[in-house]
Amino acid sequence: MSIFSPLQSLADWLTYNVFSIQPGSKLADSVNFFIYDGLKILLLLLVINYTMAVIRYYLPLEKIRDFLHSHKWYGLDYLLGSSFGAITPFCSCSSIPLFVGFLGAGIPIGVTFAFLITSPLINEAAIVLFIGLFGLKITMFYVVAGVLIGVIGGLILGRVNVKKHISSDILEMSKSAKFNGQVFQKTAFSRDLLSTWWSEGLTLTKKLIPYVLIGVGLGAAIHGFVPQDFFEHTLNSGAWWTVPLAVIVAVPLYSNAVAVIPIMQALVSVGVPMGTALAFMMATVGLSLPEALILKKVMSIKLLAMYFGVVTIGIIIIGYALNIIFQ
Amino acid sequence: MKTIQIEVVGTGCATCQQLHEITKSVAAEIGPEANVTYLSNQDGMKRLMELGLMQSPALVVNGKVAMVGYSPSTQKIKALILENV
Repeated sequence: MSIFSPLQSLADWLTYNVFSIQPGSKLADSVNFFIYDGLKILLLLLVINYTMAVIRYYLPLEKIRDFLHSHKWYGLDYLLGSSFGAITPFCSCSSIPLFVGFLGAGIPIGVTFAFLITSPLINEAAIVLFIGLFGLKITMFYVVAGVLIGVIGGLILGRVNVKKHISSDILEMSKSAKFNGQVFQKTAFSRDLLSTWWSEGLTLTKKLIPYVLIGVGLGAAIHGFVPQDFFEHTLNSGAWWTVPLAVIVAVPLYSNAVAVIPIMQALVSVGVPMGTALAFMMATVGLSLPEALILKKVMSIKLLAMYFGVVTIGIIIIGYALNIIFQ
Repeated sequence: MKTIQIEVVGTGCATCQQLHEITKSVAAEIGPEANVTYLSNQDGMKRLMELGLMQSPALVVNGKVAMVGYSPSTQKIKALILENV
């Protein structure tokens, strides 16, 4: 992308002139990749985190709940739940209040699941990184695929017997949940708000820096030192079992999307098929053990296993589909 | 001076605890009239539901929701508390 070409020049200058590393060597490739990708990602994050702060201000979770509660949706609510999951950032420590709040407002449990599934799979930072690193076409595929997994997963999980699988404490608590309330007093738009958003976005970006460095660092190592056709030879890239393998490898690696995407890009650059790499990335962010431990407080092990099962199968199907499309 | 009741409400997560620590130091700056309570786990959940909130942590001042989410800025938290008195 041409708007990033000054960054490439800077990376070239630093690698070849300042560090005077032999151009074309493995080390040069790695260092160049690290500087260029690291700077590009941080810049993109700064922009997106500012935008996210604005979205969070105008569209808090509570507003989405009230919106979903306020109409009859005839099934469209699954798509809405999943899409809102994609655009609304929320921390996993809010999973339980979110769950209880949605149930309390009478939102179907399937819609709640649609939201919970898509929320970690897609987020704004990931979308921006995708556009920057893979281009629009792959990004569109990623977004549509993530939303679809949420919708279908929600439809399947929505068929469970709530009373049997959700803890009775939680059901009791959801009855007392208030909603449709004006819980926030919005201040009128002012310059103060702009600086609040800026500092919020900056704080978030700073928090992500270690993830970016680790992700880009690993990505740079793969990019420079793993031979271009390594995976094509050893993994026989088209083999059917590579996609499930990528998912299984990814589950214990709980990480932030921002850290996985540079690794994903590096894997693609050394011959891992796009779909396999996407399945790896989605499984890393979407199937997390810490999240499972939190959700276990709310639901039965059986439902939790179904939740993970449905998402796993969804990710594997998406991986295959992308591999076939972009063969 | 009238007392200021400050609640930090959360599910017991790490950010909730951090917010509690910061709020305590802000309350100490404001003076003895500022009183901080910390609700977590079941109690925190119940309070969140009562308030109609779905995100944790929350900062509540004299029963009014002053902030949802987390901020590390003591200045901002102080301003939010004083605004909502």
